[in-house]
Amino acid sequence: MKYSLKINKKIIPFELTDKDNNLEVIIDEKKYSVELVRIDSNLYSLICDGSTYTIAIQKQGKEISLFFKGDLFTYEIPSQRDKGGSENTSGIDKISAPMPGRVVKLLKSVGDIVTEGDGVVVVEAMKMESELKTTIDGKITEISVKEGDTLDLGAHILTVESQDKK
Amino acid sequence: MYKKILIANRGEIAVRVIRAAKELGIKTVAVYSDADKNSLHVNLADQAFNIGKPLPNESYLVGKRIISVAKKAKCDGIHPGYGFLSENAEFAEECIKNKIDFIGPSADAIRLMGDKITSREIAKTAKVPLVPGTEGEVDDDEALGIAKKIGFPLMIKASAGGGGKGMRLVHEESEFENSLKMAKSEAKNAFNNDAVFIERFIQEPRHIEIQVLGDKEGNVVHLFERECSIQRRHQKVVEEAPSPGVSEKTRKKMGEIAVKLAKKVSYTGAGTVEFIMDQKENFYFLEMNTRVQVEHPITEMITGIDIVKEMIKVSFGHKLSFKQKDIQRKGHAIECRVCAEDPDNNFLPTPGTIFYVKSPQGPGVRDDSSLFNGYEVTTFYDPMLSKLIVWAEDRDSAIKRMSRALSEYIVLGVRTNLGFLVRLMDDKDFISGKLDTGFIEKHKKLLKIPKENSNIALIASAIMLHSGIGVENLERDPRFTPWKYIARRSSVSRNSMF
Repeated sequence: MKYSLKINKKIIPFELTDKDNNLEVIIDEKKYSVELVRIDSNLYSLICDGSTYTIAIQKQGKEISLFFKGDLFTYEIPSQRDKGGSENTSGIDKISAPMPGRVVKLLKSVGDIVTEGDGVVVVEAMKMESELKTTIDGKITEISVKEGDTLDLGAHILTVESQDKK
Repeated sequence: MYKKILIANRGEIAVRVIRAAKELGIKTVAVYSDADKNSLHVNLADQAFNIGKPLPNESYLVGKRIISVAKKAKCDGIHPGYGFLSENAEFAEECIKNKIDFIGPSADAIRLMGDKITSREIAKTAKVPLVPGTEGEVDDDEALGIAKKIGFPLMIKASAGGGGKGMRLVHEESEFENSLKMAKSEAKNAFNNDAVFIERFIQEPRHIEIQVLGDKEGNVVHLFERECSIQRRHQKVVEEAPSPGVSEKTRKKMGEIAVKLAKKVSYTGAGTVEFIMDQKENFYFLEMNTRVQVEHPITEMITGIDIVKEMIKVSFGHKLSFKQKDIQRKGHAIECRVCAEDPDNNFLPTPGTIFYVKSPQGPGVRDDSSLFNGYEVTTFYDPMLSKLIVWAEDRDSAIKRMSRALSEYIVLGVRTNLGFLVRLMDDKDFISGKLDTGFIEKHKKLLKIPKENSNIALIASAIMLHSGIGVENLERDPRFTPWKYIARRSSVSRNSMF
């Protein structure tokens, strides 16, 4: 059977065969013989080509979170729309809050010309200040916050639009 | 001994102090903000009182409210932990005025050593070596001129600062003005004081600190050094004792200087004298922390001395129960700070819910944690979740033990630095012990998740997706209803009974 998972906006296709309880996963044309056994509420033991790995797994909505060797992996189960192709965002950099926090200082105003790597806003979260930078050359077209505002995760802060965009 | 003490803190350090107090037969009172009502420290204390909203300056930093709780609960002492009010001289004074002991140094000692500029003055009179820099805080208009005189690279530091806040490294002149602005703004926000000073930046420095303990009869001892060179954002992540870069001769000299400095301000309780040391073992005084340090456990592990208990005892008026010559060190200890942050994204904090935690166990392992399943990592407080500490007979064995313990640690729900710590313990440069505070910058590959690990995670998710295990809610999964699980377990135990 064919499936896909999404990580960081990238779709990863894979194949899985299940014959007489012998599971095989094919990713990037590589075949793995696998088995997953649950050992505790969130704990699983994965046997992959004869090696065993302990993995913690949690599913929330369309997201699967896994903890393995100290790192967290988050996969999204893609929707139909995702499978159709990715949206075109070139020429626009929408800067949003990477975590809940507060706007300390706006370094630019609407209409300012910026170049890639320019700091545009200073935000604070968990007692730490960081400067958010634009990833494109362009003009600030929209600012939706003011200094001192609190920010929810993902809240839109400002938009930079590339000028040679049609 | 004290009858009842209040712990004016949260998280793992509140838990640590409660444990020490319990072992001394002292009743404990916890305080908590709205965000912490389900916390472990609230659970473990004999009594607990809400002191306000989640933001620190509406709860854990409101000294008046904390003192009124202490009076209401009839406490005879307040332990401030680290951070928050621990280095606030006015708070220490208010405690005493209200006839409650502040379990820490005197307000005068905090005032003298807590201010980085005054402490430099005192260090100078005690002939403690100092890094070249400004004598006091600098005015904006003269700052650049002074900076040029000291030379680049240099550091801008908040006078009232600590924990890396209001601190900036400036490589060259062109970055100076902007960094000065950022440092001042951060200092203003964190400490309500934007005064900064400037000093020369030592290349490839090691951060070495000496633990001191003093009693009210004027006895001061040191408990050797800790190396805290593995840092990110100028904050420590991994600490060890003893330092692999300090010779016996330097160790002795540093210890004596730290004791001399502490005696100069009649220091009581636990404190730390921090030094910056170059690769040739030249060391300079950085600052003194007038409180218990986050990394105190590694010193406890190599000396067998319970620093928190000693703090409580000497604050009550007991004499230190040992002299310098009685203090022996044995073996090697390492601490890893487990933090909710993303190493691969500039160590940005990662708030969220922790679904599942499993702490390492086994010989020589200690986990000072306040984590539990369902723990909320909020943006109100420091992202540190726990401190994993190991002890072993020598450094190599300690690194291997830490590596083993880390491999057993599971924190599912938010991204943490555990993967980075796992890779660090395997790094040949870390193992060789040639450390400096720029170590992480120079070993950026340790921040990245290895491809083979991503593959394993992807394979596990693939099976989850295919088989439906956990993909649907557990209750709806015909194979894994909790009822079936319980029934299966009870039938197993019934079988074994007959």
